[in-house]
Amino acid sequence: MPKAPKGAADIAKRIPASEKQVRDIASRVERELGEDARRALYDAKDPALGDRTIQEVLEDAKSLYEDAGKAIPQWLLDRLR
Amino acid sequence: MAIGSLEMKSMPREVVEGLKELIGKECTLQRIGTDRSLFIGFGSITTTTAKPHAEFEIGTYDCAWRVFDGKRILCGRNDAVDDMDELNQRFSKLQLGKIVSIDRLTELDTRIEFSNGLSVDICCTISDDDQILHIFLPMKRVIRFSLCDGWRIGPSDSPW
Repeated sequence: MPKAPKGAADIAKRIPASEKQVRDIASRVERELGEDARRALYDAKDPALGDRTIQEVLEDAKSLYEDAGKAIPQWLLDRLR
Repeated sequence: MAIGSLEMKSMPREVVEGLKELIGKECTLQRIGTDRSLFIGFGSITTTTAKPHAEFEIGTYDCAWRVFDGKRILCGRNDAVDDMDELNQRFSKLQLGKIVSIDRLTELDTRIEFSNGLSVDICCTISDDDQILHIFLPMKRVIRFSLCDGWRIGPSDSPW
């Protein structure tokens, strides 16, 4: 039996991040890293998995700070806990 | 070839100069994101990013948009579709052509007119201080329009 793709098993219990949550994170990324980074945050979404959970959005945001060589901001660290 | 109405001319000169760079450019990229966000690109396409992006790119993440032919709306953000791929397909098939003008429909809404007689309107439908639309330009610049800051231009790869 073929193996299910990564993430497929969790789809049933995936709760997507709300629009408000995504925009809040995206606008913070824009303010702190710039427009390129905000666009990259939207790009990071994998359409095959559907809407991202809040944890996934936060992890994608974290990657952007790391890629930019910037310290992860406290607001992000607090939410990732 | 026009930038637009008298009201547009009251925006910062450097924004107007940035917008002028788009006039006459042929549309080379059209896509809708899975969250109904809009991307219209001009010039060369880069594929080094997670999604393709164009040298010049007009877009909105959260505000309303529509494609209008003067009589009918051909495609809009809130079209009923089975999935976002359907909306993306519908939008991608439209032949926009070259940018003819960028104009204000109202203080809050912007119209981009194309040579094939189609217009793309981006309408402010948010009440907070987030951006309404953005326009990426070459050399890491971006124009941003928001309720609180109006029209501004600045670097795209660093905070303002």
